[in-house]
Amino acid sequence: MTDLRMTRRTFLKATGALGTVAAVGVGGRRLLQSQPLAKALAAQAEEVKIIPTYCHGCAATAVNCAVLVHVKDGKMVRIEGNPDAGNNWGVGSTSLCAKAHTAVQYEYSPNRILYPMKRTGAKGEGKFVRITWEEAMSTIVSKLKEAKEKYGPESYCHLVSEFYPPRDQVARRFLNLYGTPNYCECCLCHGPRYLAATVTIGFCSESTDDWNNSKLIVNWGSNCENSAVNQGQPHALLNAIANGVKYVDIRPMMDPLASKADQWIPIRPGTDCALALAILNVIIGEGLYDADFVRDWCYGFDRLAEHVKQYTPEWAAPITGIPADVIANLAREMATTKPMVIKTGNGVGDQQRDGTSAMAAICLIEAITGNLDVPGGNYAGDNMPSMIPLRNFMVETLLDRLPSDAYDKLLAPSYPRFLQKMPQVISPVGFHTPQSASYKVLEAVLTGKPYTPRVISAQQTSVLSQLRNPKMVSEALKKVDFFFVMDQYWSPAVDYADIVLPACSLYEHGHNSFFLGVKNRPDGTWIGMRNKVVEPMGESRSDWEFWLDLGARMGFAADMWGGDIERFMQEQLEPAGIKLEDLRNSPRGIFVKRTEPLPPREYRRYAQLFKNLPHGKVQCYNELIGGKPDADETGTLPYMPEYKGPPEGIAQTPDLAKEYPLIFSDVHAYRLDQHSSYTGLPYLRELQPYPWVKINPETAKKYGIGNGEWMKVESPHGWVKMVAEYFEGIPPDVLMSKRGWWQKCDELGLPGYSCLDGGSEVNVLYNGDREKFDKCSCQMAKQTLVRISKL
Amino acid sequence: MKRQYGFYVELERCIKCWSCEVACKAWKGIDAGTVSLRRVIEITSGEFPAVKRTFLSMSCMHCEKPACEAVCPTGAISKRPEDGVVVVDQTKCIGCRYCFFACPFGVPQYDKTMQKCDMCLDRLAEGKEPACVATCPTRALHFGTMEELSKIAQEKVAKRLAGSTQPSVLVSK
Amino acid sequence: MTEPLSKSQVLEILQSRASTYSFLSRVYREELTPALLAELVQQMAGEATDEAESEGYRTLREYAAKFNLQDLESEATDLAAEYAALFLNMSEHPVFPFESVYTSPERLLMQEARDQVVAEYREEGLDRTAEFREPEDHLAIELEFMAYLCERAAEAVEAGDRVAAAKYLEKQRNFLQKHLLVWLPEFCQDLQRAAGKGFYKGVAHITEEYLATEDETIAELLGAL
Repeated sequence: MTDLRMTRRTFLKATGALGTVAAVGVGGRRLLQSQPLAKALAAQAEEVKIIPTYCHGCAATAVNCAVLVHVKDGKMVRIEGNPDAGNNWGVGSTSLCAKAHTAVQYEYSPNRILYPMKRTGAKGEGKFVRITWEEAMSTIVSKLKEAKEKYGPESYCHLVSEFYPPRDQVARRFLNLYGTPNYCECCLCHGPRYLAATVTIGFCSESTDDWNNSKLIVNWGSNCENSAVNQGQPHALLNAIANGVKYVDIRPMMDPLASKADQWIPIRPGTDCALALAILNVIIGEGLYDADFVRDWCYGFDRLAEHVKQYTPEWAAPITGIPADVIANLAREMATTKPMVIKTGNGVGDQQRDGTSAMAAICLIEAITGNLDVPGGNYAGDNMPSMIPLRNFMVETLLDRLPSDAYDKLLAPSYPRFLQKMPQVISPVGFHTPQSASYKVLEAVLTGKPYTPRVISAQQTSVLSQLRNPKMVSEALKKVDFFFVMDQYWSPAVDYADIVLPACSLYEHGHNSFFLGVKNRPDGTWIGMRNKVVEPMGESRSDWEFWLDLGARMGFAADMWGGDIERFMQEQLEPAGIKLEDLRNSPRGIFVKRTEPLPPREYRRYAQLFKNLPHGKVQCYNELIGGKPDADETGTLPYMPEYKGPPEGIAQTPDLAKEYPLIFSDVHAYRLDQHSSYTGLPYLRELQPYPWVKINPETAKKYGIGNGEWMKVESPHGWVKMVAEYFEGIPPDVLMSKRGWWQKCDELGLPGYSCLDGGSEVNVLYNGDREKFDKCSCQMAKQTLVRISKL
Repeated sequence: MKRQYGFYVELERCIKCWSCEVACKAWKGIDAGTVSLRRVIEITSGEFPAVKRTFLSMSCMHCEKPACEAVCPTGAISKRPEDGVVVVDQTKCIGCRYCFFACPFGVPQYDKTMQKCDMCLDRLAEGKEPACVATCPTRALHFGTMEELSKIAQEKVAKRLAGSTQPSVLVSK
Repeated sequence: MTEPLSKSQVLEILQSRASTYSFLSRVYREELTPALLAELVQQMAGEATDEAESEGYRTLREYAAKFNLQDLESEATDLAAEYAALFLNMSEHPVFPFESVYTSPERLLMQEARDQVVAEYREEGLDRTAEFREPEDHLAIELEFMAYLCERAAEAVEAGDRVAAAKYLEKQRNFLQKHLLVWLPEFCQDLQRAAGKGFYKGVAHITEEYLATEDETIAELLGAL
């Protein structure tokens, strides 16, 4: 600071004069007021309250680990697991993952957006001024009305992350009332796999209930020590291992659970379809399949048998990087060790060019080996009626209110249109229908094909980090007529918005749809309330409230609970005869004991499981989707699983591999963050301070890259900078990384990294050409070829 | 000694999720970028593809014969007779680090004074387990008296962690 | 050796200080309305420029000189956009006008500093208004508190109550040393950097400069009682 050359007196006089002017404009103090109870409040300050609610750690994707939050004088101070709920392994569990313990850092991060904003300046300039909620909502309403009138309701598209209850329920209802089918799916997780399994074997089970009966558990592309730490799966797997189950792990990298496997099979990223087909080849070729099951419950087996003859282990070996004899032995083991279950995850099926075929082939392995819905096999789940019947598993979305041509108006079906029109096949309550693919919707802003989206909204997603080709995404957001975002923090995509709405934190609202908070157990059903722990800061509101408010303002109040969130919540509890107030006043939740003893576990429920499939059987030759138009409607879907491989790969594009010799992929989920969220929280960031890429030491040394050193990673589509982490548990020609590094961490003095070229966003590296997407569920490959150098 | 509390770490159940490490810091209000009283350590050996990864969650061992207590010049470190928990009296600690050098496991960490695990005495007083044990999603961490832990660990052929200070820690596998 | 201040001088100074704190509080509290901005600009432009002046005043005067009164709406909008970018987190590198962020090791809201200032406010029978739902160690509130104490001190002086006046001045000194001076110098540096130029840079300087004089001023006032 330079010397104050003015005299103190003169200085004071000048500032005082400014103050006088200011006082005229203001009309009195507004922030502090006389508070008669102030001294009494001071005395209360030491008291600690314990408030039960649900954790923020998986964002609101709603794993919903029940927690107990300690509050002192209106301030969150600590968090613990709630033993009453039945988290993880059951009642009594207080376990939580690392993310949960950042609750205080999460809540009190100073980076929050607390007020509605509107753009001033050019799109993408990032210049905003504060406005009232009234103005924000009026603007949105008028834009939506205008778009509907001028371009049709389908011109409005809503983007979000994979599974987000406010979208899937209240937003879905709003979209249906408004008349747009363009509820957008990112097509990055779970949905694609779920669909592939459903059209092949009629169900997609994630049940671990029967694992203790298994003799062989094959973890194939599943990352549950990262994505589901406290959801029961790692615990169940470890119990099964302790019980003597044989455990085989098929993943590119030796993740923690893979390090405990009897056999770790390092498969090349994106080649799971080839492996699955080769396994089918061996099982069928060597006659190791369950002939009875095949005869009674499989349709088209002979055609499948003929089809897979070409997919020998010798064919698959150079593609997968797995020796032919290992493939053959694995196939034999999977066929002859009974019972056998395959635990699949994002790594197989959700982000691959042939993901649908990969997942279908894997399901067929389970099917023809007689492992569907058998004890210790791919068990379709306990039939355990809930003792707390809710209004709906999901809130009714009023699908029937969509215009009759809504499905035809879908901008970019995220799975085939004809299937979307068959909700009874895909999902009993149709919550996954209709839907468009987020990436293609954004492309349409630029191409105008088949038509131009006019209004786009984003909620609980960091679009620029989520999708491939962030540059395209940024251009689309910049170009679209009207873009509004609801979020807790600034993220790079926010700069492109016209209106920004402040979302409150997950501890600042008590809104939820109850099915998420219900823990159904053999002894009964427990339900807990999501409670508001602290008051929302600034003018932030919950995502739920936003949709109800918007609905009411658009004239849908009668169908949106009059805009009253309490009514919305109460309605769900009605069938259970529980009052919202009673639930609120039951800090330990409400537990309803099972009145009827559970029937013995049922298995082999094939008539029921396959009832929506053609012929009521497993589709070895798939007549449900085969020959039908694909999602793009430029071609047809295959009758049987077909191999394609990654758009860029050592075996797939050998010429390219001369220039870009290494395979690059990412883990998708990681246990220290929720994708690109929470990387800024100090407790988590100190455990992964830099954008990391796991690299085999031998490879790194070849390029002169030391452990912990910055390196350049370049694919044919772009380049990023990352820090090398030496790891022996990865093949020399593979690199594995993680997306989502735009958040900074001031506390540790660490920056955020750009989502564009030259930053650290892995999505820059991948292929964004829709021709190279999976044609069934629009999966976008997260595998490519790269070259590396020291930075 | 009335009883000796200890930890039993089932190595084969640890998945290096770091929940114990973060739970401890959060419960005790330890700032990021300073110290961690419980750390998850990995021991990797071998070369691709024959790689072995072992994960170990480690905190103070609350040894029977704590080397830290023996060398502390101010008497800040003491072992409680009622439960064997080794504690640092922050009012007496001068941060000289002798305890760190003496400890065969390098447990005490310097942050103005010496910091280390105290088995969450505040939680023990309420009949609760330490925060790390309470949070472990795979139940790889156990807490109890050495006697109780020996019974649980029998099946797994767990052994007391080696060391002349006699750490109150059993490790399986 | 300067002469001790007279009663009217003491009052004048207290009045100016209250006014100054109110001004600064107002500026940090929220965006400036076009009307207020126009008035302030005219005030800033009004003073003579040939005297030696502070960095803060120079910066404000430069801002005022470039200000286009004809396009007040546009100027006010630009300034409001800067306010949002700086203080409402609408940019990649905002500044955080909360004491806890500066004094807690993890740079979080609602830490010890907030608890301490809440205790100070409550001791005076004050609490945050219900409408302002941000933590109580927001700069605007801390500054408003200082203005409040100036006014209480002035009342006491008017009434001839030396003991009360001294009490309020001591409270101010304490609040200054335990709170404002602990974090504001760094905050002002951050704001100067983030603002780059213009109004908020000027205000950052003024804030820093003003606070640097407070210790001496309070001592002088106490001496005069």
